[in-house]
Amino acid sequence: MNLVMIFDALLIFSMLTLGWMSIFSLSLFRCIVFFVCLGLLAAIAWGQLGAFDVAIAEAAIGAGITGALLLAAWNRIRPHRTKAIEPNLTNAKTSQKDTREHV
Amino acid sequence: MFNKLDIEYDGPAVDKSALSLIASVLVVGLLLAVTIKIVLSDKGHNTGLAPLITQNIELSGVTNPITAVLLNFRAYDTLLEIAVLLVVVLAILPTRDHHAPFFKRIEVSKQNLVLLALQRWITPAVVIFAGYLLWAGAHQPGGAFQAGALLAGASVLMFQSDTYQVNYTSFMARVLLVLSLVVFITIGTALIWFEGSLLTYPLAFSGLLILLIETCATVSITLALASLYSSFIASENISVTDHKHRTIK
Repeated sequence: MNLVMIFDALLIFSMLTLGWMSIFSLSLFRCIVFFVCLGLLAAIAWGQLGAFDVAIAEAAIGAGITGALLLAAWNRIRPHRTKAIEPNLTNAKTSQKDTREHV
Repeated sequence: MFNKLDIEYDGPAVDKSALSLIASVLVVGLLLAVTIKIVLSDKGHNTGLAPLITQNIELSGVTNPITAVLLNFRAYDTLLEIAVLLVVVLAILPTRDHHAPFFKRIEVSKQNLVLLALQRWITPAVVIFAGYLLWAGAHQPGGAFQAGALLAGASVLMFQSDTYQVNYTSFMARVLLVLSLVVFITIGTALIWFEGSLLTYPLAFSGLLILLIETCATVSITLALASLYSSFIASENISVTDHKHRTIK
């Protein structure tokens, strides 16, 4: 078992894991980030398969443009919480409820 | 279990979750079995179209087999792809003033220094690299779509600071959006006159014609992908113009 096969196996495993996480993560933002990572790994996988044209297109479109589009869409649908930031740092303690936002 | 049997049970006859589990296991098992079967039965005789392309690569005018297929042997496929991209852009085109200029620069008082430095350093490099990809598409991996996507990524970076605005409904933008399709169709139909059939390049000019089509395609693809991004972030600008349509609470 040479190094390339170990690399390929790791690539397959991490792509499957990232695919699972990009679908079933609780937070939509995390889903998008995992999807972008999945796109980058897919680009590496295309490179491993010898399809460098597809790899370049996947890296530019799948990871770059699609990630930007998804983040822009997420920015539009998420509930904007305009909360005044406390200038005094000791009072600006975020409660556990505020940070648990699954959108 | 059986001594608790409920005679007058009127719930669902089958457990929904178990049913979906069985269905998914069956589908995954079938796919795995088919994949293993295909992998095991493939003895290398299934080489596809690769030998056919390597035989005829001299006729295409380029040396990269993928560009040869996309822009020469199956050029109408790429033509239709560009048309589909144009339809998508028409569907999501942000409605704005038709007479506003194509490109507008707005002075923003608060500049993000890190973003500004990133724009200044990365954008020219990306533009040069996109040009290289476009040029290199003739003999190595690269091409119009990759270059266009890179340029669109650069324009997404430029849109991050609200300094630059592109009006996609201005005359200039419309011309640039349809440029690739118009050039492609014009060359394709003109070749009927000269060569006798649609999109059959003459051997002497095929490399030049492919480069011309790819350059126009890069411009259109860049603008199309950038307009996709702008249609998401342009909501604030739109809401100013259709102020009168909004219902007042």
